[in-house]
Amino acid sequence: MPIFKRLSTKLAVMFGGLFALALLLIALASYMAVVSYARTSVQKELQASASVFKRIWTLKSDALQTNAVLLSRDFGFKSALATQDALTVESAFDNLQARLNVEAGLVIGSDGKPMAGEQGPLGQNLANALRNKNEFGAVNGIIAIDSHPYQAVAAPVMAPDRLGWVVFAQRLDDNEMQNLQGLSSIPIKAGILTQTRGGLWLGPQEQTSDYKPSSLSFFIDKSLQSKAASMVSSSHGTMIAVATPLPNLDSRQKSVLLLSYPLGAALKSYQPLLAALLGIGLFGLCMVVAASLYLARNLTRPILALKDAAFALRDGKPGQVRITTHDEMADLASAFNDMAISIEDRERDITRLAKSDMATGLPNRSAFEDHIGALREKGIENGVVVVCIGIDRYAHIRAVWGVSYAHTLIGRLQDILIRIFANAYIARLSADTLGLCLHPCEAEQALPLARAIAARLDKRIKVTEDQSLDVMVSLGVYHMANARPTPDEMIERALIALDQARAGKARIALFDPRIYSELADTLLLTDQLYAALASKALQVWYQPKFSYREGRIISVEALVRWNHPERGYVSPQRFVQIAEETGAIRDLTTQVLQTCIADQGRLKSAGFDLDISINYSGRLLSDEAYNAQALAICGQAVGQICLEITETAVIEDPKIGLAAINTFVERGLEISIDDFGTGLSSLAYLKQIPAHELKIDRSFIMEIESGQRDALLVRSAIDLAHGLGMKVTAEGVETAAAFTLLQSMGCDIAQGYGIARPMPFGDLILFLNDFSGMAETKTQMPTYRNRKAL
Amino acid sequence: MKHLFPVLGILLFALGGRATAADLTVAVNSPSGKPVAFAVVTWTPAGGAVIPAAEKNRAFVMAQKDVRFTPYVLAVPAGATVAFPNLDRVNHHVYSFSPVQPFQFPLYGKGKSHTMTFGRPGTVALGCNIHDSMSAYIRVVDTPYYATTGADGRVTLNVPEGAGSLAVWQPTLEAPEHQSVKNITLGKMAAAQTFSIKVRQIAPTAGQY
Repeated sequence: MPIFKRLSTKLAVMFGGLFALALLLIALASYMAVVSYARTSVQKELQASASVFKRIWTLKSDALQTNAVLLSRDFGFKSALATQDALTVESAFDNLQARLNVEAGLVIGSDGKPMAGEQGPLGQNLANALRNKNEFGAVNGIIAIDSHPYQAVAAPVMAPDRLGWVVFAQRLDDNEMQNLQGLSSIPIKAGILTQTRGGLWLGPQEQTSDYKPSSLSFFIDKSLQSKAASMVSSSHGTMIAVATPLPNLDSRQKSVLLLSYPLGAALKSYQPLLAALLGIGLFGLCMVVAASLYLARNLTRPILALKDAAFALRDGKPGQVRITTHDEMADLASAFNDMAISIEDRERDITRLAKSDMATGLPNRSAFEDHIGALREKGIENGVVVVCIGIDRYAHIRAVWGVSYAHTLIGRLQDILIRIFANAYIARLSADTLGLCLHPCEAEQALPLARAIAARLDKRIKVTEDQSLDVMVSLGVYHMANARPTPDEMIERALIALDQARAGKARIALFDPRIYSELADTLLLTDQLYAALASKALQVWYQPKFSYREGRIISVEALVRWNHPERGYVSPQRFVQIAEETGAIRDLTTQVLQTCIADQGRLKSAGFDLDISINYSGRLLSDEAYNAQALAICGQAVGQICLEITETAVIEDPKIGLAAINTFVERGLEISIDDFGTGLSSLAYLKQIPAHELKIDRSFIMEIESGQRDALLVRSAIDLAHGLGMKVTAEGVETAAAFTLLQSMGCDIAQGYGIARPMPFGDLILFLNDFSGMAETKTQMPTYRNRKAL
Repeated sequence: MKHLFPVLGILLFALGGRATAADLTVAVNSPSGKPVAFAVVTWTPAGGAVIPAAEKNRAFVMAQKDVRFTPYVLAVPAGATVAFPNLDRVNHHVYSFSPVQPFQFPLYGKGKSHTMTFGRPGTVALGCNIHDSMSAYIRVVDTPYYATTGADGRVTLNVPEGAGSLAVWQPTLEAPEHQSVKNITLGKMAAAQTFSIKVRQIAPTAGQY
């Protein structure tokens, strides 16, 4: 039954419903029995009454009959009748009628016609009824005139043949009926009905006006057949009635005695019984509903208590059930309580494990966050400071002195901190980092606080009884008053400050939102770089290289440019560094290689056969798989491809680097040593690198005109390169003086703003076209600057 | 039947030379075939018949014995005289209200007798004023050819040939005048005649009145 939300309602309704149903059935059965019994008793009474009525009538008719017979046998009367002496006959009859006080009567002559007495319709009817009678004895029965019944007796006058009849008739009017009714022990209503030729039963108006003639006729036919009392409806309610046939004077006529008794009156004596039954039933129903409600309430109360306890347990509150009984529910409640206790214990253990550092017993980072969270809940308008204390060289200490010693050290540091700041919350955030949270704390106090900590911890600390250790700490400080970063963010910022302190060798650093936002921006830029690579938004620009010997542009250096829709041109140093750190350098280099090879093909079509130099990151050099991929791409080039590699890249992993360079050289690529003179240099490696070209860094070339030492260095480098069989390219050639000077030093190639700035591929074609017309100026600095593509 | 032979003998003697006579057998039955007793069968020739004086002068007796009339039905020719002897030890008051011949003999005792001559043909119903159960009939006929059926319901009449009417009367015959009539012509060898009549089964003497 899903309609009941409460068990108690369900139980009450079910029990109450069942009882009510049983009660209803009992009441129905009782009522039926009572009605049946009442009907039976009334029926018996009716039948007894019918017998009584018949008997009374027999007595009455016998009395009449006796007198009629006496007259009929009187010799003088016979004589008068035989001799048609009407006057004598009439006087004799009148004499008798007066003596008997009979209402109506007549003498019928031998011709069958009324001779004396009643001459009206009654007399005619009686004469007609008797005309066909051959009886020699007296007859009696009912005869009706217009549905008004009469009791009639007729005695034949025999001498010895029948001379006529002496007839007496008594009207059975309402009065007579009431006399009869008075004889019954119950107030029965009696009526006499006769059947018309149409089959309808009719009686005197005063006896039948309560009934509908058609239904009454139907009832009488049925009752005559069944000979039992049954119900018939009347205008005074349902009646119990029975119809019994009566003797008739005229055999063609039928009449019945209808006895009826109101059902209501029959049931009246049982009404107190029925009312008592109903009362008992209603009382019982109320009791059952109340009892089942009480029972259901008792049954469900412990269940509800269990439910509430279970909900409390679910919400992490203590859920215990009070046990009040000793039944199965009590066992269940007891088991539930045990379960709740063990769950609480286990939860406590789990919480303890989750919130503390196992090795030292200090609260861990999660607990630290909870503490800050709790502070935030209370309100931190007065400011809160989070200090991250990083123990320098912790890994080293742990490796040398052992794990347990290191843990003891942590414990000692905590003791010291607790001694300084009694109300500080201290947790171990990671192996070598302690967190300290202090509240309240003004923003100005944050740094002095950190300095105090550093001053106290940066000294020789006695770890065990016989061992002391020089401890160095770095501190990251984050103070917050009204901003609402999450506890996690607060700790993170303090940790970032710690990293900043370490990076800046500052020992103590406040969280610097500017640096933090740069880092954030770098992250954003990384994402954008990936997006740019994916959409091939990076461009390749070319910077021409001028050959002194040939007096023309013999090659170009490919330089990657990124024109970001919002940031503008992003510094290549910055995004290349990001690419190298994130590994995007592979895709970047691949794109550059592919663009260069395609552009080289187009240049060749335009009539320019140029070498293209491409920067090849030192990170890639150690990636053999990528090296093979780059070789495959370069294999498609129509001209010479030169890979520019820094000396530093080789020195970091000389074995793999040299092997890769050798492979490139074997496959026909040229190798150029880039940025010579700025990074790490090793003459040993310089000797081993099979490079074709040495590029002297622009920092030397810029100073060549003013600095004697730089000029000397450049000259020596040129000589050294030539000595090792390499051609020399000077970068950063911007002035005509430098151009000329380098030529005098024997430099092979010049590159720089003095020759041309890096330019897009479209501009490069224009530049080359213009420049070829100036081929004769071999010994002069080209003057075509700042030309833009039209 | 026992009265029949002397009558017949007288008849034969009286009419011997005058006309050829024939024996007419008549059976009177109820519709169900039972013979009917106390039925008076008469033959009246078309031209009428004179009742001989000898016939009229015969002695006819309607006795009262054991509080009953004996016989129950007595057929007499018109003009005959019937004696009413009281053979009982009790008195009787014989009367008749029949229009044919009303009469009464007030109470008379044992050994006494009254006579009455019945001149007009018809039925005379007899009763006793002090004994309602007593009843009897005298059938006065207008022909010399008559007989009363016995328990076998049959009679044989010796009648002259020629046309006439054959009638059967019985006190309870359900017909006008309690009589059934056939007009027939008799030849030398007259065929037997049968009457099927409806009579009341209840013996009137069994009744109270």
